[in-house]
Amino acid sequence: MNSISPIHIELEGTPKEVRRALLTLRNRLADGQKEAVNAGILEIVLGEVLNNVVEHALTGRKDGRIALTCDHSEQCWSVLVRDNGMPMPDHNLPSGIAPEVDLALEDLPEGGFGWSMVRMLARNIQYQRSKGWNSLSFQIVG
Amino acid sequence: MDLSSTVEGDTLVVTVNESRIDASVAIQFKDRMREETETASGRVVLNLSRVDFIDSSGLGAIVAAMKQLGASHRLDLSCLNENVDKVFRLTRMDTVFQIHQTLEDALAS
Repeated sequence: MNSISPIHIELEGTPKEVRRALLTLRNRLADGQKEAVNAGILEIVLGEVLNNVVEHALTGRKDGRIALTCDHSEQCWSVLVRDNGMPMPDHNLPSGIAPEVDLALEDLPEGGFGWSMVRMLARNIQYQRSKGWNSLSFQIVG
Repeated sequence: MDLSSTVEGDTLVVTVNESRIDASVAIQFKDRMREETETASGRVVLNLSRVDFIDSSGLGAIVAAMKQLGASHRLDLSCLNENVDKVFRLTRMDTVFQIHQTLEDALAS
């Protein structure tokens, strides 16, 4: 299997930019690598992480910047996502407790799934705050 | 958000003619679903055969669409690709919706 060179993508803090970044990632993977390398799980996790940054860390900001790097080696993705938004509440990662779904129709949750999926699919999740930037790193086997 | 619908017997089939239901279109999806299903008389099947990515906001919009249909119109799903199916299973939403492998299965059930 050919190795994949690290993928670096920069984006502004909007949902449309998140879509563009994920499509860019897909195209880069399709160009460089014919074998599936768990790109589906990488895309699911990155989508949740990036949307969370847009909705919370960068909410109301016009100068929001996000930079992500995905590096694949030894059957594992190492991902770093940085943003210049507000820090995580109490400088901690979201608990990611999955919402209850065994409920009556009108009580079903319409949100709160994002970080529970991140917690289920990623490992070695680490968060740091330094000089006005958030850094989130994690790994995905694939 | 490009949705289209056809009537098959007593079932309204709504097809998503786009490859992604994500945070950038979640609100439009919910609004378009309301428009497409206004005249539904019975069950609604959401055909996701052209969708290859869904995020938690898109999932929430599908749940919202089911809730706005109300208890009198069941919302079933058909033709989930591998990644879309994964999101439903991880969130246990596969236990909330009836999910059919093919549109034919959905119409026969």
